[in-house]
Amino acid sequence: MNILRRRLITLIALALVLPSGGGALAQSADSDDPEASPMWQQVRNSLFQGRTITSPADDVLVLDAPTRAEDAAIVPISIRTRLAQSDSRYIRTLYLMIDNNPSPLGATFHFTPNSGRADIETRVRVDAYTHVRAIAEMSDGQLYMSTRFVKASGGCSAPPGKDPQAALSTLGRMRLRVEGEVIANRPALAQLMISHPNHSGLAMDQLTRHYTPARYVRKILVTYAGAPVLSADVDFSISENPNFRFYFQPGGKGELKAEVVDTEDQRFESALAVAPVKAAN
Amino acid sequence: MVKWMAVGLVRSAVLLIGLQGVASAQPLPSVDLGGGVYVLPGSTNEASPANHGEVGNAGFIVGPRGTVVINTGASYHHGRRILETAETVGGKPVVVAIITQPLQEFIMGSAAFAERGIPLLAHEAAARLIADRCETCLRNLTRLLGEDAMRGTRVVVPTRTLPGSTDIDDGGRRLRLLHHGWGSTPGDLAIYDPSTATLFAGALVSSGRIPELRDADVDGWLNALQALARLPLRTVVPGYGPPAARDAIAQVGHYIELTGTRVRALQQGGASLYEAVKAADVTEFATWDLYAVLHPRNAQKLYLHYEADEFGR
Repeated sequence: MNILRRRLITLIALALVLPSGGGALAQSADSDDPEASPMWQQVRNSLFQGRTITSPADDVLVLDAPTRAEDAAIVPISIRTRLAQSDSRYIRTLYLMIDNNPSPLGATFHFTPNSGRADIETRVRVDAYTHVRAIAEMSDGQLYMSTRFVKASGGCSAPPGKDPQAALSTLGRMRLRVEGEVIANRPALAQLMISHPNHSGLAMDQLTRHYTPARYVRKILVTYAGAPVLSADVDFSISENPNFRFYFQPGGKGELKAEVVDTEDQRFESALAVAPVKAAN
Repeated sequence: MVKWMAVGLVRSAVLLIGLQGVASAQPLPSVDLGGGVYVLPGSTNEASPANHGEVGNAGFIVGPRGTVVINTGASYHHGRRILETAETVGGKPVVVAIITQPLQEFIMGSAAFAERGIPLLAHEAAARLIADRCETCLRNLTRLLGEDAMRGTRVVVPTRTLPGSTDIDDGGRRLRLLHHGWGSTPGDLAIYDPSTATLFAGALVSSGRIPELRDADVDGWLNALQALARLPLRTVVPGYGPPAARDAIAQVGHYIELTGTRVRALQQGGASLYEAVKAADVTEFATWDLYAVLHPRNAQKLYLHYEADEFGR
């Protein structure tokens, strides 16, 4: 990460953090109309121009998030989709957007028919009262959106962890886990856990009064038996120790493999041998 | 006629000023535990404009030459009333104020003590955390309660700090300050009065109100509770909830263990954070105050704790 970029982030941080006093109230006023959010209007124009976005679209996708965040630094987000990933029509991309975060587009997930299902669960940082939205882009170009309003309250921050050195020593450690029995040709749930502080570069160390330099996971690629099932561009809106739950659809035996790259261009890998059983019927 | 009205106006103005004066001079309601030990009960709810943020208990112990105050309250105004009440009811000058935890409801009244030159005493880790984070808490609290309620409030970092357990003799009365490591917060202090077998447990014990795990070292907390339960005890003054018997200590441990077991089973059984927080009910404690607010928060904290364990910290 070069100095210019860091400065840029600091500037964004100042622009967005400083007026937060009245900001929280102003934002809550438009909580019932996700379309009215000014940040959404900007992002919508640059990403989707004049294309139609159907919302709500509960028969395509549903975004779930607690209305009141237990911890603003770690807000669980669940995106459930209702369509099978068929070769002819599938969800190609899911955009996860947190309107009032310093960098509103927190993650872009890409799927294939091999994903089986385009569901995602992860955890995000939420800076203020904000709309959170998931936008699904189909392989035929159609767009669907689901939104939730999340209140992240102030209060006191948690004390620092006991040992920042220990956190550094496990940086990049990953765990891949498959949940439940894996059945051939059915979507199987997997979990990727990454030990990484995911520093945004926006948080001041209260003791040193310095900003902890940005360092966060930016790319994720998951393959099964060599074929991509999930790839993602993510940023510091994702909470520390990034965690993703997703699906893949195994035909036969294979290796589930995750590769992760952070902003220091460090690469981390983890793999898991999977032997699906045949469906009972 | 005009003259009469003018007199009436002056009268009401005088009355108004008088009432305000009375309001701040009137002592806070206190619970007399006997032997010079008093509790100033606070709300078991969340901080809100309705309770002026006056959440959690303060107290004082009167010695032959002076009074020791335990926790300084939620605002400058609250701190002053605690100080005035301790001196009016106890009849002795306040000589020191002890902070049991670096929590906003226990420290925001400190300026009222500092302006009188009364030393503030805390564990060194608590003092550090106050310096680190409490300006942020004060800003958030002011936004919540309003400038008026928080007028005069500032963060005062205790300068009389302790590295661990010790006895003090301020005011001519021997008290034991107990530190059993990072429990409910870094720098927990419990105050034990041997002459009445009374324990001011601070946030380590919460009775009828869900304990908050945000700042906790869970294992450290359980250890601290075990150590406290071994004391000869007649009364436990929890940080939240009314004075209680020794059993209140074990109850907190029971809540933490029960919630921990439940959340661990969910986490290891493959539930996501979102699912686990939703499914982590412990019905036994569902009637405790703030269950709907603090229990999901605690479940999340525990889930993340067990998850991080998988990376072999």
